Amino acid sequence: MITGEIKNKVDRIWEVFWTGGVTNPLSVIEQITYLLFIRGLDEIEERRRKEAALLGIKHKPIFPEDRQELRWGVFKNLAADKMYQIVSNGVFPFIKALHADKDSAYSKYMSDAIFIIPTSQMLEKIVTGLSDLPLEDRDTKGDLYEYLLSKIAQSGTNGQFRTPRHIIKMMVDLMKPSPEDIICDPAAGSAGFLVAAGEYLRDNHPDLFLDKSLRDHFNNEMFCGFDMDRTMLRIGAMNMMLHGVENPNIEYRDSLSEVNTDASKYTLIMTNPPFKGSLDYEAVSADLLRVTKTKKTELLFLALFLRIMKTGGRCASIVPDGVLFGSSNAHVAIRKEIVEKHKLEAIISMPSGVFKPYAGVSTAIIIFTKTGAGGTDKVWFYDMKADGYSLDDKRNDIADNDIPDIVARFRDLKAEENRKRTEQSFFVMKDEIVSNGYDLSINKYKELEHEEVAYEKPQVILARLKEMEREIQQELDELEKLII
Amino acid sequence: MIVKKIGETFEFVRNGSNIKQGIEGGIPITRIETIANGIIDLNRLGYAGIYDEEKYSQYYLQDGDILMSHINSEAHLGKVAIFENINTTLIHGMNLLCLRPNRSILFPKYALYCFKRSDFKRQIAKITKKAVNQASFSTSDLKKLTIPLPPLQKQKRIAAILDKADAIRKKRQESIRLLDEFLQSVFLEMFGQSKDYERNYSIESLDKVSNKITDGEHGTVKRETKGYLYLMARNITTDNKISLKELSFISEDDHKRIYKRCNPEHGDLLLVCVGATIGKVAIVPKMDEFSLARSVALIKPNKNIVNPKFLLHLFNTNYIQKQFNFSKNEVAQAGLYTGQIKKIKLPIPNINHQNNFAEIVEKTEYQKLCLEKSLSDIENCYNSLIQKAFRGELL
Repeated sequence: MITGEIKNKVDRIWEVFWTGGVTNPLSVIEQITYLLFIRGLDEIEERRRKEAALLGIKHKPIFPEDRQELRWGVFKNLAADKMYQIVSNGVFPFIKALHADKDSAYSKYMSDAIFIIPTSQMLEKIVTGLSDLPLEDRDTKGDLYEYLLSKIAQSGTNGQFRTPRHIIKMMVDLMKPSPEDIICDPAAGSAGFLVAAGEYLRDNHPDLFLDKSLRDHFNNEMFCGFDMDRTMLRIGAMNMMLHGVENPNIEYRDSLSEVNTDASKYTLIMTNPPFKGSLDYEAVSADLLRVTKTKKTELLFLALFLRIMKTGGRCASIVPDGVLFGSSNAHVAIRKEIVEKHKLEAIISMPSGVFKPYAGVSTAIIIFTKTGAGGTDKVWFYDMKADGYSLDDKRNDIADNDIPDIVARFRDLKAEENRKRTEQSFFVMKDEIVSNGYDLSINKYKELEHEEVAYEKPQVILARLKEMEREIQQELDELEKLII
Repeated sequence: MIVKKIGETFEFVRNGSNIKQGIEGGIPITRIETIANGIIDLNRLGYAGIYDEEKYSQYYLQDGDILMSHINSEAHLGKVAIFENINTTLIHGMNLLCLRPNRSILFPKYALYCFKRSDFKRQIAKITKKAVNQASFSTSDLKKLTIPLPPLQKQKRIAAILDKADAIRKKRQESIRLLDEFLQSVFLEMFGQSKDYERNYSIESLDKVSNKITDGEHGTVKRETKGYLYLMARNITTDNKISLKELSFISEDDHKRIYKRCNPEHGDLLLVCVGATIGKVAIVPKMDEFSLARSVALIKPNKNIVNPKFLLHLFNTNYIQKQFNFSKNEVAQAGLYTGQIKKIKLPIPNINHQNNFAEIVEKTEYQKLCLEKSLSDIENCYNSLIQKAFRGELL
């Protein structure tokens, strides 16, 4: 968590952008991302130079001898005008041209960087502000970037990109990624799921960094994220790198299209794919349409998960409620596919306020394993009623929170066997789901608890009514006397 | 009659103490909503963990103090409540004015009624400053407003008369409420708790006991200024009535076309099936032919099996309302499809038993009608008393 002084520093930088007229939160994040990248490059250079000197080998510099003024450490101390000239005319062209440099992992996302800070005074303030931020510690810089991203959420319109972090964390805690997993988010956005998965592994499998092959796997192959928005790609990549993943596979890809030829590649998918997203129907991959013939992105993504996972691969995805009960052929087809040919494990129904203030949609988390041979015998349902925040637009902290209970129960499903349908979680047998047309909405299976209503006996109420009539009569008489 | 400025008849008119609230416990503090219902509501107070009895003692409310809302939405501006016979220490907080009557010339309860009359509301309107979301008036402007000021003895009598009339009015409202409770109680007595329905009665789906279940017109219909009534969800009230406010009308042709499929008649049940108020029900009274919009479903019970009045009450129980909540789909707007309405499960007691209940309902409804008429008479009387009192015509 970012608090106190650092938070104020970030807020001040944000304010400089704001007062300078750069108000689109995404643009702000993007500009900060470039500048953080530029600062990072300088730090890598410095580290390599030291390492080379220590080992007595020749150092191959990122910055040529005659272009040393492009280094953050150099230009940050210059006068505002001079700095502005160097950054806009020197540094930006330079980072765009880094594309070929295989050693600097994130250079590929910088190729179309555009510098939009309008004045030299503003740039100076921002550079000073960013220089002030402590970026040495991995935890701090990751949190710091997450804090910046949370500002996108606060500012509204673009927030749909951002899945609430506590929901992501819950999904990661449910799926418990292992050091061998190959994790994919085909609609990665700011890479929240991948970052959270990385953090989970650091916390729960610290040993993996002692093993060279696991460490390489972690840094190079484990995390794959795709998106169609280049700004989000850059942000996602930066988010991953600041969280200490050296070379994440964050790439531009229209996941649903023919171009995406991934199949049987990943062992774990965690994602929040776009609902009702716009779709280039012509380009949609034919093998997805074979599973579910539809224009609805939320259904196509489910079909995609099934294709791109290895057999045995596990998936946790947020889906809008409609996916669970929709009665069109496409809806039923994809549910049938998952229930009959794979292993559907759990449906966690979430309250509709989870995505507020952007959207009031009701959603659920669907968890299943790709088997290709069926295996669904019973499905665990959980009716989540609170996520620790009020379910109105304000989303204030509240005490009610089902998330710890959900995680604890999911990890010990044996104990769930005897839960009744009137309780918050329970199992439903596959046969029952099939006989209900593969309907997966929890309401279909939940049973009602009838509360006792208590009233006084009719005779008692009648007696009171009569008494009251007498009183009213008496008081009317008194009133009459008062007026005369 | 003598008329005096507020500034001359009260010891002071002031805003409350600015205390940041949010910590539990300690001496309670008034808030805007404390007087929302025209009384000092001890369930709607703020707290700030104040235990020091000295610190805010100058802001403690005293018997006879009047609280007035001076920053609020326009409709609530000038709302008052009196601190009287309340044995609780209460700090006067921000955003309400406290007016302390000068008791040598002004009787507090008289002042309260003075502020409640429409004349005073009109004066308030003149000093109101409107902002975007709320309105306010200043203390100094308020002090310049006037109230009629008869001798103290006369003030006390006026207050006593209005107190009496107010008490009668409240009792009448309470007795009307009690009639509703009476029906609920009878229903419970006759048919038992809903958790026992499945044990005691045969359970049928709604379409098994109805001759017809359908919903209103799905298409857009051109509205006319007159013609046939086009009833929508908003015309069905929470107390199971058809409200004839905000009516829409459609042409005869449209009506005939819709009515062919969906024909509400006397004794049928109407059920709101779209929007925030899903589950509200009403029985069609004797009225002219009308059409229904998509947001209202029509249920024609088979009267040999279910009595409509019984059905109406059953629909109000948790047993049924929960099924509605359960089956409704929330995509953009909550909706209940006819298919789902048909599947609603009902307990079906013996029809004679149901008819007995319906008879009691009819009698009670007649009683209620009488009491409501009486309430409106009492209200007229109360208003006329206020008017006369402050014109000096009373006494």
